[in-house]
Amino acid sequence: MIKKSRDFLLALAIYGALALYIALSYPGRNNFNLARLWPAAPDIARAWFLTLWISLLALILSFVAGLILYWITQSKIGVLRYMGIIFDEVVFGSPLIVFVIAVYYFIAFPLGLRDRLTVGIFAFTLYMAPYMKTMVVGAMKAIDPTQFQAMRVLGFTPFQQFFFILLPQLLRIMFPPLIGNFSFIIKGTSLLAVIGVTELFHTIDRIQANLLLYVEGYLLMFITYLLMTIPLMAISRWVERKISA
Amino acid sequence: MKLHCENITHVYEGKKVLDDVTLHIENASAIALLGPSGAGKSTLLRLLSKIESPTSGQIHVDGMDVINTSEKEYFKHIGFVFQHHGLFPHLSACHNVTIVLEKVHKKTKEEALTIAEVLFEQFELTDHMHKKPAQLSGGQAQRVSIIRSLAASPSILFFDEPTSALDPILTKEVLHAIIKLRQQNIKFVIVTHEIAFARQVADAFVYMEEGKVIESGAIEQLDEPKTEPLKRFLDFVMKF
Repeated sequence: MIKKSRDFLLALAIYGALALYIALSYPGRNNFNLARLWPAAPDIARAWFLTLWISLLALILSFVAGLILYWITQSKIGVLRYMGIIFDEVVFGSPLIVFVIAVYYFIAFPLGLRDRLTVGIFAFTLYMAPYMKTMVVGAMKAIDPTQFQAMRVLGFTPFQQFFFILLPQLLRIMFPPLIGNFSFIIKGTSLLAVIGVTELFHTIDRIQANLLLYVEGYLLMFITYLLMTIPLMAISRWVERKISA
Repeated sequence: MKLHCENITHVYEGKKVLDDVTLHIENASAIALLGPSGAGKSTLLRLLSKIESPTSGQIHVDGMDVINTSEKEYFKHIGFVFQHHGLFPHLSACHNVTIVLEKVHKKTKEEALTIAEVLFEQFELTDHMHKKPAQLSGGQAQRVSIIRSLAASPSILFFDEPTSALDPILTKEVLHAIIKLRQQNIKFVIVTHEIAFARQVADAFVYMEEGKVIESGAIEQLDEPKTEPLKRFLDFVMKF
């Protein structure tokens, strides 16, 4: 334990030294002043929470969409199955930023959806659905096949099978990859700036341009995103330990 | 118990696993399905229990037309114990039983718990009621699986080699539990490789080879088999 802590502190110290070296060799270091961003703190805090909110909503909705996509791709109806497979291929083959733009201009616009935030969440839900589906496929494979037969013979309805037997097991199995996907969504929300959603990246980008504090702004961006993702990873590891205990 | 199978043929992945099986058994309480591996015993059991449907033929169990009765209706009358226990790992042994009674058979929590407690007591598992399946031995888990199948008072239980995944000591535990069922006049059909056990617990047998029924009858008939293949099989298994 002591050795582990020592190694961790040593690793942190090496990164710290590297950061100090970069700071000292930076040509404009005398003008660097993070405190000048302070007046914009309420806006940044609002954007931070908005990003978290968008990510949470996208996580929940894309999980549900992933389950639906799972059922579609497992369907005995060939047309449905192929629709699911084609959707998978399109998403897996598209960069997120291109997909968000495509959803905004080619789906939301013609449908008269103008609220950028709603469109952003919608785009994320669609984009993450196949990733969630892949996670569900993996988790389903981890469930002992005898359980499926037992549920049938014992007389559980499909609804009961899913909600009382499968879902609690799936959530345990899927928790680590689900957190991984959540982290991916948080980082990915920065791309919603391209359709004008005032999330964290967009907000800090605007503030740093207005105040001409680019270095401070980028540094703050870096820190604020890590403030979301690092605790998330810590929670994930803690829950994983609890589950496996 | 009455079993009537008429010209059952079952094709699985292009292979004929049951070939024109016709079988009539009347007034048996416990039937043992015997035969070498790959004979089609488990397949016949799965057809009798409606887990699978035959490619062709008719099956009647205790007067019920298995093929034309809905799954929901038929499964109310039967219980099935699998080779592997199939317990739900996120629930305790007790909850594995009560969830079926509460959700499927609409018993109250108290009623379900009372039924479970009686059965756990009967199968000497009271001390393990609140353990998760992973904390149970293979024999204990299989006995919980028997309790789960028994809880809703089915009229027939089907056992598919319930001891095949267990070591000899744990096998004894499970066989002992099945003997108890027999003493309580619970009707069952069992696929087993344990010939001595079959003699002890069953009152009728069906001997199969290569998807066909070779011989069937009262269990005493095993002492004087009528067919050469059954004679050979018994000679072979008795050697070891």
